[in-house]
Amino acid sequence: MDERPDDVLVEEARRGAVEAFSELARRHQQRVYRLIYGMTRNHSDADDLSQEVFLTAFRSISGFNGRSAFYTWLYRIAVNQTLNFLKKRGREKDRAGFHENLPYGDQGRAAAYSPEGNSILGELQVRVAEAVAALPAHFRASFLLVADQGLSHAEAARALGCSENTVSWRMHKARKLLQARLKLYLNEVGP
Amino acid sequence: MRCEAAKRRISDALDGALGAGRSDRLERHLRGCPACRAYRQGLTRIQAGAAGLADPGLAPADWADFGRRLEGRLARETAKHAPPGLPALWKWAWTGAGLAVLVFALVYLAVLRPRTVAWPVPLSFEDSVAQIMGEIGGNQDLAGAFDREIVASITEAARPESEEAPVPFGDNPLFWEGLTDGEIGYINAELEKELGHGGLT
Repeated sequence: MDERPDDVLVEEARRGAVEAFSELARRHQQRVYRLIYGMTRNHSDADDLSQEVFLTAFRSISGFNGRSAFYTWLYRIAVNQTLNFLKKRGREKDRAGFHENLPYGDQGRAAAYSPEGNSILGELQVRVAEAVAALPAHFRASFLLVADQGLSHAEAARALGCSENTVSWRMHKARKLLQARLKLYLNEVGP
Repeated sequence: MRCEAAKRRISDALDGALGAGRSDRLERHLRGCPACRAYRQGLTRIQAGAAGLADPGLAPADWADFGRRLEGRLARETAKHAPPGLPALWKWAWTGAGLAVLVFALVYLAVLRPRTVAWPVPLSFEDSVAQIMGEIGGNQDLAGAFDREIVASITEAARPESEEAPVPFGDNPLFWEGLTDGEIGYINAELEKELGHGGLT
């Protein structure tokens, strides 16, 4: 296993070493795929977009200035491509509108929900996943980067191309929307 | 602190983005605000439910397949933008050399090629005479002209040498006019020695 740090591999990839870039891709493919899958909730789209993200990064690696971490740069490409993809497909229009007072039962249960795993935490995860999928795209991207991938506000800001304050505000708004959507369910199952 | 500001700080605190001072002020507000405490409790449960939120649930074989396909696409991408390899260079070199030879041949044939002249083969004296006699044939005028040329050439060859001898320099008056008195005296003395008389008079 290649133990060289990312920045060394990036420098070699910038000089045209395909193997170095392949190693970088191996290290980060799951993160990128996970982010895109969280945005699209579709494996086929996540696969296609993830491959395109790495090809785009490979073509433009010479333009990577190294001021941020390599994975942050990858995230930025991934977020931009996914947002463009969703905009092009018009999937945002097809999504159910986000109604804060809509009872959770009216949204139907997630297809991924399995009766076998119907513990309270398992159902909560399904409910949260449904609610996150219904967030506006930019809020969803921020929420996934910070709450799912564990990026700091500063790292998420670099990945999203916005300020830390914007990330903080989006997270606040996203949580308010999720809280409103899940309020009835949370009250029903109790603390 | 107002509840809206407190809710923003609760969100920041969940992300680990709240400084110590602001965190203290938030805690003071929460102690006196049950609504914000309930809000924080709800967000904490949502945060717990968000764990593994976007886990695609792929098996290791799926990741390996993803990696293989990506490496294949990277290799094709590299080949597409790679400079031409040695075989391609040789092909271009041979094509270029062939074209250069062709162009040179055309230019040579059209412009530079030396024009060949059919020089007559030199004849021996006997062959020359035989050829002339053949051409004269029965033509009396040509035969007479040929005889006259022969006679003239013989006459030229037999002309006495004295006719072509240069005039002695002493007979040239310009020679004597160009001499100084000393030179004339020297010549006179030499003639006197040679001829044994008074020399120049």
